[in-house]
Parts: sequence; structure tokens; C-alpha cells
Amino acid sequence: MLIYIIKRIFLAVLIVCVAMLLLLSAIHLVPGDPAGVALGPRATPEMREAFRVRMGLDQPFIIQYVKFLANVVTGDLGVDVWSNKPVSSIIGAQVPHTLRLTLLGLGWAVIVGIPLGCWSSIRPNSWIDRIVGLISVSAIAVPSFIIAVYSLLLFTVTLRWFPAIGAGDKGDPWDQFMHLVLPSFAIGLGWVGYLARLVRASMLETMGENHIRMARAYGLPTAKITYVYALKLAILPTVALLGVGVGGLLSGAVFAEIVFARPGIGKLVYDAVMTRNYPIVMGGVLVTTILYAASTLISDLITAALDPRVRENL
Amino acid sequence: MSNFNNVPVIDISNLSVDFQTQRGDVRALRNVDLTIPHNKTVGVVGESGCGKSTLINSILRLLASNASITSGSIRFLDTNILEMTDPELNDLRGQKISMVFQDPMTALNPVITVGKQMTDILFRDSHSRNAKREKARDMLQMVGIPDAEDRMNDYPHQFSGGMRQRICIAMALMMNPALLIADEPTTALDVTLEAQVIHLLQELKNSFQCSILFVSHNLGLIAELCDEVVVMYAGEVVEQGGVFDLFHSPAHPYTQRLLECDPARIEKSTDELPTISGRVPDLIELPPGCIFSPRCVSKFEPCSTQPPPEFVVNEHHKVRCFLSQNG
Repeated sequence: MLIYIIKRIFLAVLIVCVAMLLLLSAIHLVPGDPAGVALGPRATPEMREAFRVRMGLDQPFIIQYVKFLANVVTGDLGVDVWSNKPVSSIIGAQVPHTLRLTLLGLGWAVIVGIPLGCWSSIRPNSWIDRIVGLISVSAIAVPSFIIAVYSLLLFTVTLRWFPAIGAGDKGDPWDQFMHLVLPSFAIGLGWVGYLARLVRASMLETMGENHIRMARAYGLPTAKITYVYALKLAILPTVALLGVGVGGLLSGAVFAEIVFARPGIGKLVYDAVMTRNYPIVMGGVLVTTILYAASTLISDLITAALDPRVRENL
Repeated sequence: MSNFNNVPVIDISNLSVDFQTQRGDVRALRNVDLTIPHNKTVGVVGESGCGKSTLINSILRLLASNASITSGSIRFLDTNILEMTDPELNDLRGQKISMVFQDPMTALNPVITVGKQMTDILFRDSHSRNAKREKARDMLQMVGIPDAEDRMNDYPHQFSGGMRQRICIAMALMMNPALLIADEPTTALDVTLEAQVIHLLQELKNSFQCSILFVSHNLGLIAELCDEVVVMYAGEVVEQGGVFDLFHSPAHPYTQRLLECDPARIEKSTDELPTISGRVPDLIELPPGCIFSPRCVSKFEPCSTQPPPEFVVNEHHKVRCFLSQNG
């Protein structure tokens, strides 16, 4: 088990390194000189050269890459081109916002999606199942920014239940929570539908298996059969999907952060790309990649914890 | 239970079951009569699709949702199972009637420990967790699982197929049921394991004093284990009787052919195994006469026009065939 965890962490680090390599080459392949863009058309060649040296852009590609990785290990992500503040502290301030938003989006998906899937699987083709199916497919089909805009219109402008923009008062957790409800709903709703469909399908498959027939033949209570005997197995594909799905939620968070004018990695990176602020872009993508790698790692560990057969083959 | 010694454990009379399908109603069981006396083993034999599983599922009321019981009754001791409420049924399942399934590889939940699955069956008991675990351990020891105490924490995939079937048998006997239904319990096992499991069932039947309904298409096993045999064909009971009687003087042509086809009984070495020509009739549109008549070699005038009633060969031996009309 321990060896497996170490292996998986190693793999996660590898994923992050490869992602950084891809990002760095993408930056190099993009037309336009970063120094020129950053300093404007009226910058002298000397100023541009100095900028390049300062940012390490004069060195060979591979050296830049290795240096970047080495700096990352020491926690140094470089400095912001404009403010000269360390990137790590700028990003560090934004990570909790994005993390909270993503986790709450995930929360919607898990807390609403899984029970919906279970319900509709208990009586397939009943009217509950049909309604849940209809809502799920609609939730998957509607893009999250549409949900964001319309939920803003409905709950904030018309009903005035939730605040419109920002992250809320720093010292007031309730206010922060209220600011999270709509954005997380916007990015999580599609996943609610997704999970409801997936859980329904895998529950139906599991319910048809012999051991469930056997549990029924022993007269075990229906709730125990559904939520322990069947769900423990049927949840496995969902756990695997969610591990990858966090990536989708993170990119959904970018939209939500822009629509709701919330602080967060998404908004930070978006602004940084617009101003060719490469250290911020690199740092933001690095952190996102790490979050993504961590979430797949966690989902693999949960799978191993739930399924002894997986645990054994580690 | 002692009051019920003279009452059969299960008394099925005139049971008919239909399945609603797109093509029409499949008449899976028709007018089935079957009695399981106290502390006896009754074997049910027949080809695939003859209604064996439907019969079992009717007894436990675990039929698929498109099935409907159109006539008859299934009495368990003194109550009709078909009239039971859901709580009564749950009380029956696992506690008074339990079941061993065909494939031990898939019968146990792969993500729950064997010990937990066993103690879960005792959910009706108010005993402590430890008492339940002790009971489960004792049962595992009884069916011959070594290191039962430690192995309770193992998952099903850590056991071999034979071991798993032993565990299933142990589970089935946890509540000391009045009837154990064994649905082809050895089909998925190899021959040596098969013999072991059959001996285990025999042994346990004596120590637990329960009746067994043994479903199989292996005639040898039925002969070895059962007191009485019921031969089913295409949803009907065509012949039933004591095991010795039925195997030595089968009265129904289907039973005769079935016995001829048993590879274990073929004496001369041959390249070709005997088969019963033709195939099981469509259960949506039944032939008007005897259900076996299209395949029967000895059919005569009444067979294709009217269904044969039950003729009594002797007190225990009954057959649905016009050949036995005159005794």
C-alpha cells in the first residue's frame, strides 16, 4: 500500500513536470516576443534585452525548463512582471478562493447527484426516474456560464437571495459562504446531472448482480442493500470520474470567477494571459496542474480503500 | 418446529407463472405440484429453461417484475407464501428458507468482508457483535474453512471457488432454516470439489435437520443426494417419485430419454453422445396436447390433441403420460 502511494505520488510529480514542459513550449511557440509585448512598442532593444535576461528568456529552452523546476522545488515561482511581488504569494492568496469554489461545486455534484442517481435506480422507468433523467440531461447540456448568468438574474437581481459579486467579507465565513453558493452551483450543476446518470447506470448494473440477488434472498433491509451492498460497488466508477472531473471543475471555476468577479486562480491567470505576465501564468497553471494531479491521486486512493481487489493488486 | 413434523415444509399446488414480454405471455410454469416433506431432500431436474429457476424464485417471491403468478398456492408449513406481506416475506427469506446460488464466484459481495456478510444475515438478532462473529466463525469451521477466525476478515476474492461455495452454505445455514434451496450449487465447481460440496450438504442436512430442495441437471448428484425427484419439462412437472423408483423404472418418455443421455450411464464407448431430438417448445404458443409430444418417440393418438392428466404409478410415483393410463 505504502509503495503504491509512493508510486502514485511519483507519477503525480511526473504529470506536473510534463504539463510544465508543454506549457513552456507553448509559450515559446506563441508568436510575438514576450519582452516586446510586456514593454510595449516604444521600448529600446536594450530594455528588451534587460527584460529577457531578468526573466531568463535569453537562456536555452531546456535550461529555462530545468531552472523553473528547480525554483519550483524551493517554492520560488519568480516575480510578477508588473508589481515585482513574488508570484508564490500572489497565487497563494488566490488558491483558497478557487479551492473553496471547486470543492463546493464538487459538493453539489456529490450531495445532490449521487442520491438522485440512487433514487432513479431504485425504480427504473418510474416517473421519478424519468423526471430525474430529464433534469440530469438538461443540466449536462446547458453550459455553466448560461447557468451562471441566469442564476445571477434570478436569485440575485429578482429574488435578492444571494449577493452578486466578489468573495465576501474576509472575517465573515457566512458571508463568504453566501458568495460561494451561486458560483459553485453554476459550475457544479452539470456535474450533478453527470453523476446522477452515472450512478444510476452503475447502480442498475450492480443491482442485477448475483450477490445483490443473494442479499435479497436473505431478506436484508432494502436500504442496506441499496446504500451499502450496491452503492459501495456502484460508486467506484463515479470516484474515478470525479478524480478527473476536478479538472473540469477547475476550468469551470475560471468562468465562474469572471462572471461573478470573484478572486481566484482562474481570474488571475486570465488577466495574466491578457498582459503576457508569464510568471503568473506559469505559476497559476502549475498550481492548477498540482491540484488536478492531487485529485486523481485522492480518487485512486479512495478507490483502493473501497475495493479490496484493487488494493491487493497494488 | 416439532409440531410440523407431519406437515410438509413446502407444499406447492397448481402453481402457474407467466412472464409478460413484448411477444406475448411466456407461460413459464403451468400447474406445478410439488411437496417437500420434513427433513427430506427433493431434487428438481430438467433442461435449461424448463422453469427450475422460476420455481425457486416463486418460493422466495423473488420473481422479476414482469412475472405474475396466475394460479396456485405455495404453502410454507401452515401459511401461503403467495399471500404474505412484505415484512412477513423478509422474515421468511434467509431465516426460514435460505438459498445457495449456482455460481459462488459472483454470489458474494466483492467489497465486503466474508465475516461482515455473514453477520449481516443475523441483523434480526439482538445479540452483540461479538456473539454474531462467534456464530459466523463456528459456521465457517463447520463447513471446513481453516483458520476461520482470521479468514472472516478476508474478502471473497481471497478464497477459492470451492471455499466460496462452502461459505455460501455456511451463510445459508446461519439462521438454521427449515428449507435450504440449492440452485445447481456445484455446476460452477470441478468434479472433486463437487463431491466435497455434496458430502458437506449431506452431513449438514443431518445435523441441521432441514429439508433441501436441490436443483440440478446432474442426474448422478440427484441420485446420490435426494430422496425424491421431480422431473420438469418446459414448465411442467412431467414425473415425480422416489429416487430409486424413478431412476430404475422411469415412466415418462422424457425421463427415460434423459437417463439415456446421461454420459455416466453410457456403457459402450461411442463417438456420439445420445441427444433428445427436437427442441423445447415455445412457451408463448403451447402445443395443444402433451407438451413433450413433438419430441416424443412413443407418442400415439391422444398425445397431440389433449394434455395428459396425472397418472399414479404407485403411491409416491406420479407421471403425466398417456402410456401409464392403464397402470
